[in-house]
Amino acid sequence: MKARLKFTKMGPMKFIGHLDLQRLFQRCIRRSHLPIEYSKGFNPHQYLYFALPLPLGATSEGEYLDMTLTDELEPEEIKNSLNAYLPEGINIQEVYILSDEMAVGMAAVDAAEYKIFIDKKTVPLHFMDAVNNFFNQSEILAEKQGKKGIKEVNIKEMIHEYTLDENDEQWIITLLLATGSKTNLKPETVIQQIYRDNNLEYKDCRVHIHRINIYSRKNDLFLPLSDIS
Amino acid sequence: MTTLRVKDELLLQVEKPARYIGNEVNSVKKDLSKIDIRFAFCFPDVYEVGMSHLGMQILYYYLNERKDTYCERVFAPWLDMEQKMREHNIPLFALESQEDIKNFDFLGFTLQYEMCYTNVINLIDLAGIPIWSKDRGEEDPIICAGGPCAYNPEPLAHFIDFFYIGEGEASLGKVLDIYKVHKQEGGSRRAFLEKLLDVEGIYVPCFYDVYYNEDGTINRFVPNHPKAKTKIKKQIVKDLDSTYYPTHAIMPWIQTVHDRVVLEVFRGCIRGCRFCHAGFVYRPVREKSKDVLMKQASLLLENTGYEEISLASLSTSDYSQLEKFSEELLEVCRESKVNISLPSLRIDEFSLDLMGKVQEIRKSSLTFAPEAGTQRLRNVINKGITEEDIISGSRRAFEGGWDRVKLYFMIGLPTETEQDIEGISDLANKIVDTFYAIPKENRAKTVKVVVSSSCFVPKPFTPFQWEPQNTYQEFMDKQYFLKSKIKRKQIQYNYHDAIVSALEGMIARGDRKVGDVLYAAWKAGCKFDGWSELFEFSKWKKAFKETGIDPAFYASRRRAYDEILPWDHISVGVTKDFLKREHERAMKEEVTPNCRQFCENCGAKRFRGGICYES
Ligand code: SF4
Repeated sequence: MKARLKFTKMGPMKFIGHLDLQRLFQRCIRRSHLPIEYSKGFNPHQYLYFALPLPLGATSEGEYLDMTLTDELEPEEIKNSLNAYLPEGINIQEVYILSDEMAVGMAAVDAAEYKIFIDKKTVPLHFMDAVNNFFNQSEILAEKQGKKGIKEVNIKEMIHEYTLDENDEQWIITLLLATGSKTNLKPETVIQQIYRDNNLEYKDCRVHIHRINIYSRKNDLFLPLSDIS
Repeated sequence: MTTLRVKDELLLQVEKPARYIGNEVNSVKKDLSKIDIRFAFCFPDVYEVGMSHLGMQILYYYLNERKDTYCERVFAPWLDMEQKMREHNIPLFALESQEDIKNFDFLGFTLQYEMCYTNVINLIDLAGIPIWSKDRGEEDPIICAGGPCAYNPEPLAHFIDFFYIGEGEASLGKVLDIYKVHKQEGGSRRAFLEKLLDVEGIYVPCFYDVYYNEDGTINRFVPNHPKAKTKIKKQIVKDLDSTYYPTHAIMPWIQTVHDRVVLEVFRGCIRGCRFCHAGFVYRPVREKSKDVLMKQASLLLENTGYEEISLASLSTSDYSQLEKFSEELLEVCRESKVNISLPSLRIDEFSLDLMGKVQEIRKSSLTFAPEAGTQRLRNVINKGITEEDIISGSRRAFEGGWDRVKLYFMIGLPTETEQDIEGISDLANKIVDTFYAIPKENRAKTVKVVVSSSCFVPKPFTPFQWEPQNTYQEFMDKQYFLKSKIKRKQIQYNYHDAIVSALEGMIARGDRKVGDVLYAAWKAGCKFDGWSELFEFSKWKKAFKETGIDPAFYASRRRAYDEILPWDHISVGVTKDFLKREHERAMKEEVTPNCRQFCENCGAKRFRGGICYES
């Protein structure tokens, strides 16, 4: 059977890179004795599909991992047995059973939602006006890292939604960005461009990125991966 | 969730921030209010290197078994992190609690290689503790050190309050027991160190004075405290089956040098290769029984989820129950889909067969360590491997589908001649010929023979401890000579810059004065000297000049048998008489049988355990 796990990556876990996270999961799965399917032949290994790697330094409450099990298990059982071995900060929130014909992992991803936290003290007073102006352009040009180096592209179509918010200390930009195997807009690209346009020095260590969820597009609707099973 | 000592913003500006966050799966968390002793286990190299070290994992859990003690880990921060810490006044902290170690009771350094000594000094300084032990006050932690390099403690004698000589699990606990009472009673730092004089295996340098002759050799080494012992005896565990062995391993956050379960099969080595420090200081051989190994293997795999297990020992083939044990282990690993890695096997029929069964290294490269190019020189060093062993092993391997052979050699061994060096390329040639002598249809298409040479460093407590080391120039000349002899495209020759080995040679046999050089080198900016990209000899040169110390005096001088050696007050069991005998035999090109063939009465029998008592 196929299962989709939704999990968090919070606190200091943001310092763990994607490959290290994979190894961590593999070992926790082994310890939990989940009946996971292994590849055949020499060097048997587990097939795990992570939906979308998270950049180092970002936190998330909506990460996904697909796996194939050799026995039928209750979602609750999968969740509890894994959580018993995962470190603080990484927590399985929910487990969904996928139908057998479901494509696993990356193939289903079309968009991701982020919250960007910017310390008010690090930007000028009128920063938010600038941000508004940025998003309201008819064409949004950004420097994007392509296969053949940096090039300028219009990212307007790739920004599905944006909202601005604030609390006492931070500006909060919420973004729904196109992402996946075909088009992929990273939140850093957007934020860096805003800083560049305003002649501000961008230091990624000062801007906190938090992923809310990952979506798949169905009939013009963005559904969280958890709703697709 | 633990609060990190270093702010996120800074951590995101350094390479591999996961090195500094702790909280790994299987790391130990304790309630600080219930702890009497705080121990910082310091590994003077980066996280990935330290986390791969078995000894550290053993002692970490061993110390944490005690309810009254919290042992936490400390590694050397990488350059970028150190810079941030110094800029922001963040003293060195421990991973588990993220608290500053200057407030701990103990700092314990493990000394695995000489080239980490400037890191030891740097870590003490980063912690905010006076570097010289004489400058430390009542508020400062007690700084101790152990590990293989501690068998010659003198180069670090000025910086370390006490050395633990031997295997930590044997009696480090006694030290903590004494400390606990001492702390409750509120005695002084000096009073505690005095109490340690009653404990076997503890060396407190400040209770000894060294007097030198005019030529720089040692005249007298004398205790300045009535209770200070004249000989410090190595402490070991007699029976590995009943000794503490962890059933867990901390799962490092990032890829380490050895990212797998390590199962220690036995300690010591029966072989007695005359250049090998470990072969003498870890005597006698003590084995674990097969059943204990199997139990430990399953527990470790169960508690870590690792997909690979590696057997650790100096020479796996010498494990007396290897056949039965490997059979059982293979069975268990096949079932649980775990790979086995088998380092240090001698290449014979059985090992090749075993390697074939262990899928993971199938048809990759085969490793031999002949160490020397001719039989004559192999006899000098007592390396019991013959050309015939290597050729026939290679032939069998080639017929089994292998197509790579790695050969390890040492340059600069005592009595070495040009002929011995040429012997290295001859041997490589013969292996290539062996490959092509096999009919095409029974072997791979091409063959690769990789020859690596390291530079011989004479070490304390070996029969070569009196021998001069080659100079840098001699090493380089020999390497170039060998390079010119290797012509075939199937043979690849790797060698290192000899300068680090030359320095290692000086420190390894250093006395207390070498400590001044270490300090001056650190002052000049040396750290991570074992990392070739960071090693700067010019800084060391400056340190020699400043201190007026001549490295050649330590590295390239022949010592007389009756000279007082800086490590003479340490006893590892093996006697000086035996080492002398071995040295004389080496000069006569005579081999000495291994412990299983014949006991030569090396002195290790005094431990009353292990192979010396096998019947
Ligand atoms: S006393 Fe004999 S058996 Fe024991 S270690 Fe020495 S040589 Fe080997």
